[in-house]
Formats: sequence, C-alpha cells, structure tokens
Amino acid sequence: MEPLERELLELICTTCNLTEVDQTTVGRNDPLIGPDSPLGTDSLDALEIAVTVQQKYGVRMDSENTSRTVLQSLITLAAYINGNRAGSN
Amino acid sequence: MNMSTTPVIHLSGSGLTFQDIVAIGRGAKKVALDPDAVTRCRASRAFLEKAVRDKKIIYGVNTSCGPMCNKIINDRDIETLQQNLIISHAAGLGEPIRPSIARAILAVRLNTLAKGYSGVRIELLELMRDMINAGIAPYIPECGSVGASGDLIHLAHMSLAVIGRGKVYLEKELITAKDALTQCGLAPLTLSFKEGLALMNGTAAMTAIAAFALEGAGKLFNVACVNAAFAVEIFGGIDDAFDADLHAVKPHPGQIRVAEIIRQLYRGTGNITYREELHERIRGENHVDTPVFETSVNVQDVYSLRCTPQILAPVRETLDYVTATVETEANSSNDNPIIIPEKNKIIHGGNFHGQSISFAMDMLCIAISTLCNLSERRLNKLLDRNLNEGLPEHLIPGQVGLTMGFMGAQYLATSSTAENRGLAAPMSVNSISCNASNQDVVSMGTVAARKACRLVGNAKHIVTLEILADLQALSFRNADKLGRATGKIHAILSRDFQVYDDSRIFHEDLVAFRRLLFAGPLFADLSVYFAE
Repeated sequence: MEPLERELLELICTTCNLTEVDQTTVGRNDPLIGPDSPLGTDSLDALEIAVTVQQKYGVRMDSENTSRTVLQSLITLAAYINGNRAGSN
Repeated sequence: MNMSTTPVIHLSGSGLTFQDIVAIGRGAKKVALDPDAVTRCRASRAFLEKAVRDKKIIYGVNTSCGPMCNKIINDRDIETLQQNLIISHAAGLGEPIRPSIARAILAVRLNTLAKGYSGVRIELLELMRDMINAGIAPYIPECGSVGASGDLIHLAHMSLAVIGRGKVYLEKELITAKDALTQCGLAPLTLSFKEGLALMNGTAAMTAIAAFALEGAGKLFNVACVNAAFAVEIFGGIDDAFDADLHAVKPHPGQIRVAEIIRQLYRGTGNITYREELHERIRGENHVDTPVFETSVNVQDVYSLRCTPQILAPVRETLDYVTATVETEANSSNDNPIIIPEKNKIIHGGNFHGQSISFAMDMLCIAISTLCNLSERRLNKLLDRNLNEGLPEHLIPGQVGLTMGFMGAQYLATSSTAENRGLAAPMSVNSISCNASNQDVVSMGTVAARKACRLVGNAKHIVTLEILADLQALSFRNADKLGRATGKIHAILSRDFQVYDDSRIFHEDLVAFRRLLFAGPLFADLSVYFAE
C-alpha cells in the first residue's frame, strides 16, 4: 500500500469513527463503500469521506457519480487526489 | 480530472443532463462521440456536400449572413466566409466567463452538433471532443449576445479557439489558443463551409450557463428545506402545517413534495409541537374565569414556518420545469439551416432562438428570489429578540452590547435579498430589434442566464448565513432532540461550526460554510440522510 493510500485509510477510519476496523486487513483494491466493503460503510459515510477529502486535499468531490467512482478503492481515491490536487479551474 | 477512472459521457445529442454539463465543465467527466451520432453526422455532411455541388443556395453556406443573406458567395470564397464570420463576431467584452462554464459551453455545442443535423465534418467534432478532454476552456467575455441568432458573440469567441485564434485557459493559465492546442498535441482546424455558422449559431452559451445556475438552485432548494426543518425544530413549530392530509387537499406536486421532505427531515424529533397536545396546554394556562385570556402558546406559527410547503411549492415545480427546458435545449439541433438527410431536406428556420431558455431563467430568478424571501424572514425571526421566542438577541452568546453576534451579518442577507428582488425582474421581455431589423425579436437569453447565475450566487450568501444562525441557535437549545435526518446533518455541519462569539472575522466563517454547503456533495441529494 502506498503512503497516501495508508494515510487515506486512516483518515477514513477517523472520519467515520471505524474504531473496530483492523486496518491491516483492508486491501488497496477493496471497495470503500457498500456491503462488500471491509469497512462496513454506507452512503452517509461516503458523503462524510467526500467532504473530508475535499477539505484536506483541496480536490472537488461534488458530484455523486464522481464520488462513487472515486471512492471505489484506496487506489482510485489516491489516484484522484494525485491527479487533481492542483485543482481544476 | 486526470485519471483513467474518469467517467465518460457519450455525446449523441440526446440524454445529456444538466448535471452532466456541469460535471464536464468541471473536468469530472470526459466526453466521447457516440458511434451512431457519428454515422448521422457523416450522412448529414454528405447530404450538405452534395447540395453544395448541386449549386443549391443555402444560407450561411454560399450566402452571407443575417440581413446580408441575399448576397450570394462565390464557391471559392465560402471557407473564407466562415472565418470572417467568427473573427468579426468575436466582439464581446467584460469579465471572462469562468473556465468551467466555458468548457461546458464547448461541450453543449458539441452535443448539439453531434445530434447529426448540422452538416459539420467529423474532424470538427473530434477536435472539440479532444479540447474538452484536454481541459481547454475558451476565453469568452461575458457580455455581447442577444440570444436570438443564438449566442453569436459568445460562441464566436469559443470558435476562435477551434481555429487557433484568440486565447484559452489551460491549467488555469490564460495562453494563446495556438499554444494550448500545440501543448495538448492538437492542431487548429481550417473550417469548411457551414462549420463557422454551425458553431456560432446556437444556444450553447446560455444553456451551459443555465445548467450551472440550475445546479446551484437545486442545492439551494435542498438547503432551504433543511433550514426550514431546523427552524421548525428551533421554534417548536406545530406539526399539522406539514400533515400529508393537509397537502393532499391542495395537491400541488411541489407542495406535497416539500411537506414530505420536511417531515422526513424532522422525523424522530423531540422538538416540535403536536396539535393534539396543544389544547390541554393552552386550557391549562387559564386559571381565572374571564371573557378572554391570552395564551403564551402559539396557536399557529408565522407564515415563514407554517406556509413553507406552499411557498416552496412553485419553487420546486419551477426547478423541474427549468430542468426539462435546459435539457431539451441542450439536446436539440439549434443552428440554421438544419440538414435532415433522411427527409431529404435542408430546412431554414430559427432553432437558434433562445426564448425558451430566457423564459426558464426568468422563472428561475423568481423562484430563487422567493426562496430568499423566506430565508431572510426566518433569519430575522432568529435574530430579533421580539420574535425569537427566548433566544438571545442577535444570537449573542456573550455580553450583549459589547459583543454583536449576528447583528452585522444580517445586513448581508437583507441587502442580498433586496438585490435579488431587483435581479428577479424579467429579461426575456426586453427584446430590442437589431441586426438591421432582421433580428427584430430577440430573447436576451444569454443575459437572462448570466443574471440567474448572479442571483443564485447571492442566494447562496443568504442561506449560508441562515444555516450558521440555525447552528448558533441550536447551540442554545434543542440540538439534543433533533430529528434523525436533521440530527445527522447537524452532526456533520457541527464539525466545521464554531459558535460565533466575536473572536473571529465573521466573513471567514461565511466563506468556509458557503464552500462546505455549495462546493461539495453535502446538499446534492437529501435522501442520503433519510435512510434508517
């Protein structure tokens, strides 16, 4: 797992108060949201993650579809942040 | 958005939503050309080329334009005509349109051309597609179009980028179009006959601007519903004003929907007053036998609480109407002439006329201005100690008089509400004959759409301040008994909220919350908060 991906996992666990999640069991390809996610997160969690990521990394997460796409996995989320950290105009 | 997982919209001249337009503009979605649309476009172009070879007289192809349409152009000069049309009409002035909107304009134009009835070459469509996906945004001054022969001036500026003239934004830098195209591995196009006109002669600018106004208006509606529910809970509003049976007997669709949203927001609350319990409470206050006694309990709430479903009903319905209009326009062939090979027709008409968008934007302005009226009154009720039912005056948490709380900030809402009432005056009736009286009835749709954007921006100021005031009021009472959905929203917003105690410049709180509310996903869809 890349450093940013690890950082994001910690951020997600903190944001969603996932105290019972063993972070070492979460893979970088695992779904971040929904019933198949090892995090047990739902759509409200997705919203909170999107808001937190937007605030911390300065990337826009305003479209529900974009958020869903971006929140597929730690890999997609990290790639999105790396690709957009400068911000789109 | 630079990643392989960026969603792709296949443009075909149908099915493009206003959310898609905004997302493409912001770089959150890329575009591709639908294969069937490409087939249609090839057929349309081939039909036009044959008509030119057959020496048919076709407006803007081998004739001049506007009131000079009776001047027939020699075949050897028909490409020069296209270039001259663009360069001469790139005559706008004013602040540049935001790059995200400018890119959306390019996308809307591409979608309308991809519908397949405009007779342009595939090379043009591919270049526009590649410009959008590369993040190029044409430099388009905001003033100039009358919105009748389309957004001629705005789209001429957009078209400059296609032919490698003028300037564009790329990665936030304003550079020459030629350099930007080179940097992106693209080459400017020499336009063929009809293509300059097909690019310019349409409603893409007003439609893209309208899509952004609509996106903001949708979030405003959602925040307004949340603010309404917060207000009901802060003031212990009476439940029956939102009773489904009340609205069933006056069944405006928007009214039923707003009442349902507010009920869903406060469901589970311990803060509201139930009509059933009022009778005994009021009777219990009367301890002496007098002809009249005055109760301290509200028998009915003020209109800004009680009539929320009725007031926001036409607002909701207008948003639905505007959505349909914007999306119909964005998926239409709106240049002139229109080439329909399957009907063996080249039809000269006026699909470029923007009256529908102009009307829709005027209605949006009225709707959002009304939403602001409601928000401003609720805010005043929170701040005025004569109305706020026991809250501190101006929601001041400290020493009243020495500290000011929300007293200064209220002016923002008052002045913005007044400004929006001015902006709500209709633009679509302001036709001025121009173009040597060829364009003798114009829509002013581009101006109307820009005005709507400004009004929506002002409205965001007002509801942002109101939600801050709600959170401040909830810091004094009732936060512990909020409904399920209002409670969830309150919990999320509270992470960024600090009680205003005069220790910070108020503006900074406003900036942070305006961004939180409107530049993020929190209020895109309230249903996420309704889940059990």
